[in-house]
Amino acid sequence: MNQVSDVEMIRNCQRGDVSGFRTLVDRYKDRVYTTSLRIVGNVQDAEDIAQEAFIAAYKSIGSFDINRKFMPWLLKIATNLSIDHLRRKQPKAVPLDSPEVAEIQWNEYPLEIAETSELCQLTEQLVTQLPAKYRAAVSLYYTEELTYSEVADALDIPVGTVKTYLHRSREMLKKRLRVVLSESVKL
Amino acid sequence: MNCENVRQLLNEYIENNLTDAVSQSLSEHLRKCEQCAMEESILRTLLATLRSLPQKSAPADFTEHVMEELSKLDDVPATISTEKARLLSRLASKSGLQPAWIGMRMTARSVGFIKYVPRPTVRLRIGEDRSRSLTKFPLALGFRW
Repeated sequence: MNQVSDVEMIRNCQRGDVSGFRTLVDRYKDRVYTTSLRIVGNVQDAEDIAQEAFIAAYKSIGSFDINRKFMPWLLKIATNLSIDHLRRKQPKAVPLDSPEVAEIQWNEYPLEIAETSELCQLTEQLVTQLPAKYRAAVSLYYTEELTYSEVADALDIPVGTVKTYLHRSREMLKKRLRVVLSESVKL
Repeated sequence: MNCENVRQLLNEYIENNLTDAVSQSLSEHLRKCEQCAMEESILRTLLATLRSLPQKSAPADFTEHVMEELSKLDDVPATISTEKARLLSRLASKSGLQPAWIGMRMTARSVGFIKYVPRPTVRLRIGEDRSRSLTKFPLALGFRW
């Protein structure tokens, strides 16, 4: 149902009616903001990037193909801006998809996992320590529920690489989670 | 099915992407092997948690900020839309000018780089003395800035 309304609003924007775009911003701001935040890991930067993503989307909406889904297109813009932001910020750092980062930077977390919300919190923290492109893939696939090919399009990589990123992310997260859960059981 | 095969297929098993026969065989292994069952439990927990990570709320004034930034732009998106392209070709056929020239003018104005671009005009020459004119055609093409 949203898709139909999105199409209508996009058509209005293409005719120069900005008011329709306000509804699109209201509808998708949390998802764009969350994706940016998961990738850049900083509230202020995420807000700036999310705003920039909507402005970039508006500027390109004239050529937007209404047969495409709007949301994956919007998230692709936000993801690219977030990754570019990290590149600018850390030009000499380890490559954004290097697994070594995740291997060496696990922090210590409280070991007692009693509540699901605590588990969510822990997982969220662990996700922030994955390499940037893995974080983006995890966020787009699991949180935003994009398909493999939509994630591939957003990150401009083959579907096979998306699967590899997700597989490695799961392995890294599982490894750490296994330690935490087993220690939690012992307590 | 050995433990190594099972570990490789666990994600697809949890995601229900395996055939019934493979899935059945994997289930049997999990009933017998405590370590693989533990692996399955951890992966299942991880996937469920990843899917339920909370969405963050954008700041309350987020939309206003975006709309404020948009109001600073020209009101026409920079790229020419399908409708504009259609209008463009109609204009071009009426004025006799190349669509690309009119397009450049529209785009230049819409992106705000060039504020003063001549606008093509078509004037009806009814009642005018056309005897000294080079053409007897009743329409005059011109430019307005």
